[in-house]
Amino acid sequence: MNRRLASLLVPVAVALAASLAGWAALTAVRDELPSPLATHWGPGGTADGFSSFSGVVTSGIALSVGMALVFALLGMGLRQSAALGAVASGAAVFMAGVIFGSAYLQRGLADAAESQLSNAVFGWPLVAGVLTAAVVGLILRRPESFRGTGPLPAGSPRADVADTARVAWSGSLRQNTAAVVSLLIAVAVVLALGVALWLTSGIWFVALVGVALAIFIPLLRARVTIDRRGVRVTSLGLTWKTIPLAGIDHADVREVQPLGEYGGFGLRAGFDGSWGFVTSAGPAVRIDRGSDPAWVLTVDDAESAAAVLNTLVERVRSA
Amino acid sequence: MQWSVDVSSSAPLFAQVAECVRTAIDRGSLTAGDRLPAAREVADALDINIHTVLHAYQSLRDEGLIELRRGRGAVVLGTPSHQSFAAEVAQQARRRGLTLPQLTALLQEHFS
Repeated sequence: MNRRLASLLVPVAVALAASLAGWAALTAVRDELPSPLATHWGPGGTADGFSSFSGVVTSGIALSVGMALVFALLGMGLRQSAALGAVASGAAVFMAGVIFGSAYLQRGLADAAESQLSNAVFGWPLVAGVLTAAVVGLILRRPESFRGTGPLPAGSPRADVADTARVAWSGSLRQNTAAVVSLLIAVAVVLALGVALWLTSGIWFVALVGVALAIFIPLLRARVTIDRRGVRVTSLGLTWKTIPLAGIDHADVREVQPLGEYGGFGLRAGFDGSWGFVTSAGPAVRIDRGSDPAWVLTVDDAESAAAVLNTLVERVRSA
Repeated sequence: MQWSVDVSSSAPLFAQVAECVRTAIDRGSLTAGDRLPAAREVADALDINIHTVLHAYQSLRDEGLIELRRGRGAVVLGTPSHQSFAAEVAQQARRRGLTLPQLTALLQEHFS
């Protein structure tokens, strides 16, 4: 089965599996469930929308599978089928978890009107969804297998150094103060809200989202190193990405628009099938990896980075 | 910024490393406030001894181009001499057949 088809079928299969599991769980406790079941809660957390058992099951299956299809098809359209296939699977699990879970939690109630929206309804499905997305992402991901051979394309920049010279390049992702500040504010707000919710109502998933967002702050200021060992993107001593010289076809300089081409800032999947550490619009070094996705890094002095990288790649090939 | 050392050159390695930093400051790839990589990282990248890099950093500090702070590492103070920028402009102007007075006249329009 080809990879793109798998990126569509796996999320749908995951959605069906999650829905069937939810259906089975609800069926097992059907006698204890009120009828009708609460399916929507208003601002105070009180139930204001109701549905029958079969209504809940139908909507659970439909929304979970629907969610999977939307993201999977989007992925195929944007040439990021593996990444969005992973998101599709995670979203489907989240959806099924929320719908079937919120019904399951009503067992033992005589009247659905008594049900209150609980924190567990979103928290655990969110965790399950993220884990599912991670696992499916690893399964759908095509291993990097490209090996560069032959001469570099005509006109490729090279470093102006002797053949006997050792050469390297260091720099960092171009600073985008506005993006960093916005992210800091967003993280602060979400964390403050999350901690407040946790202390007052025991709801922890908002705080968890805040922590997850915070991980992206060091990413926006990551350092880039190019040397005989390859390309490395690091921050706080941790490596976000390594690209070996052997896996590179050539490097060049491109003008990049994070919003228009990658849908945002940070570590992003591009609409052209490439991946990027894109922090700010402007010059970037584009690392062509042949049949593997290209990687784009928004750095200042990109010409010099591309030149050094090409020189190192050439040396490895002629060795 | 680009780092390069030629072990077959007669110039001492530490001097070559220091020259990389001076060139970067002059070209504008490094500006005041930028942090240089840790000496260990430069040494590993170029496959040279860490003490060579430390020697280079110390000589740059003695020149007043960088500052070495515990915890923060090497920070560029650098005042670029703009020499290589001027050389590039002169070269481009010559290529176009511009004389110095012609170039000056053109530039004046953009600075007014």
